[in-house]
Amino acid sequence: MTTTTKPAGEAPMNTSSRGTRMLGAVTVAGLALLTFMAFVVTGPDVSLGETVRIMYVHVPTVSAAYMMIIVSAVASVVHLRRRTELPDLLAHATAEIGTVLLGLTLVTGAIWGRPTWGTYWQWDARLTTTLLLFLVMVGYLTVRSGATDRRQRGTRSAIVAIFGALLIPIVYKSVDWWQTLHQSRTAFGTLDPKIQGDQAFTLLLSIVVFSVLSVWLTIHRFRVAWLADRADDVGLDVAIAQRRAGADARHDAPARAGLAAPLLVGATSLVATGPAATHPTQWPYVIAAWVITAVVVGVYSVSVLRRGRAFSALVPEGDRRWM
Amino acid sequence: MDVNRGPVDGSVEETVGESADAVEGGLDLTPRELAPKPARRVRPLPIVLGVGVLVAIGLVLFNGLENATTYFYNVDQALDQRSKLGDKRFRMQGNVIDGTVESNGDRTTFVLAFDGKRVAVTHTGDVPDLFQPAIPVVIEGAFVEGTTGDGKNADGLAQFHSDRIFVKHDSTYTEKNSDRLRNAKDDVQKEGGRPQAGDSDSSTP
Repeated sequence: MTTTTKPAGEAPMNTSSRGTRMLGAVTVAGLALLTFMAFVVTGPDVSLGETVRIMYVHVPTVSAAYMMIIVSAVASVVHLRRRTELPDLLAHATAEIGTVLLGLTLVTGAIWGRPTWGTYWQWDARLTTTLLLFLVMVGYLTVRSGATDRRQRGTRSAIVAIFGALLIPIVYKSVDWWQTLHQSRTAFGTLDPKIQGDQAFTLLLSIVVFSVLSVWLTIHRFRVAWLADRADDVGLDVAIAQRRAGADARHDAPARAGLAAPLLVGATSLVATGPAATHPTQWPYVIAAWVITAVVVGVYSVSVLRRGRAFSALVPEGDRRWM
Repeated sequence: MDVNRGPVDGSVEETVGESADAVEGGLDLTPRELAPKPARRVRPLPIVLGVGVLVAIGLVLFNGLENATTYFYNVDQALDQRSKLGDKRFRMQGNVIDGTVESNGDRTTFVLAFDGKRVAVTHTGDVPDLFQPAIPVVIEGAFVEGTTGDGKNADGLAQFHSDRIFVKHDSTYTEKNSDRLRNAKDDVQKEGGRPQAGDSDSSTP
């Protein structure tokens, strides 16, 4: 969220605007409040103990991921009908964010499963369908990066996004349709929520905060997609743009490694401590889930903002005047 | 598929196709011939990634169809299909009956019940931290010959040997100021249901 202060009337050299700065501030405040609620105000659960605190990152990542994937599919339908550029870029932005969030859902769920069920992974219907949806969304990003022109890119990726969104009801209802190790629904789609008081408030807060975070990320990521295409349009500078993008990718390489490293460290440390100790303390799991979520969301946000700055340098000022 | 990379043809195509207005006035185009736009080329990495994703989806579907649709049988369903199941490995859900759990080294025995039907379980191996009486669990293993030779033990219960236990947490959350008892049958029958009436603290250590 670093913003270069520019005289009024000049277009920014990044993807920030007044609206995103306000939304960013709300997100940061919301995440701080959520952390306070999850660790200070709410207590341990009767049967789950401390690991119930993993719920406050596991559930909101999936709710926000669903939201992103549904928006992506709706935007894809609009793009297929109208063939305009903006819905295609919105579909791309939301699909990428949804994929990151759904990846977090799988990782935090596995971390939660170990102390709760006694296993990181089981091929039950909920886990299997969630992994399937994640792979379809990875497929979306792959299809997009592999397309040779924009029309093909838009058509192929739109079909994948719509297919992904059609999987969501199956993932959601899988706990009702099949017998699963995963529990059934707690708060939504039930007339009588099975969670009350501070726990319920904190869960709801987490969903709201991650939704706001997703909207903030979507605006930035959407502008990055717009800038990337504009930079591509500037035919004369294609070679330079690619040089710089390449340099950027090299700059981003540590950031990407940073994204993978905590996952690996967390996973290996858990594997190392997990089965050996009969009664391992619950806190390492809670901390691993929260730290991984924080690091992935943080690194991804920084990468979006960095991409925005890099492309801004390649794009004429008129294409960077945000609403 | 590739555009002609000849010095003249390539630059003309680029000019017409991509940036006619940016290079108006017949500027010297020579420098750009060194960097022909590569966007028309099919890059190998996305194809490799795409194939990888498809293979992964295939594996997940294979596993899913194999496992996920009948992830477990409830105790009563397993007993009904006992002859069909034979000594095949499968997963079975039930409630751990309070007062039947006995541990001896890495061997744990207990009675598992669902919908009034009971099975005697001998478990070898690790037991999850949250394992305790009066909770729903999913166990993995197979029916074995019981002590009496007809597949039953001295109590007349079918004998099951498991080597994996998963604690099936239900969808209810309660902070540590009120207590409750969980019941597998309740959990299954009242999807979208409610905490049981008459909560007691027998499930709390």
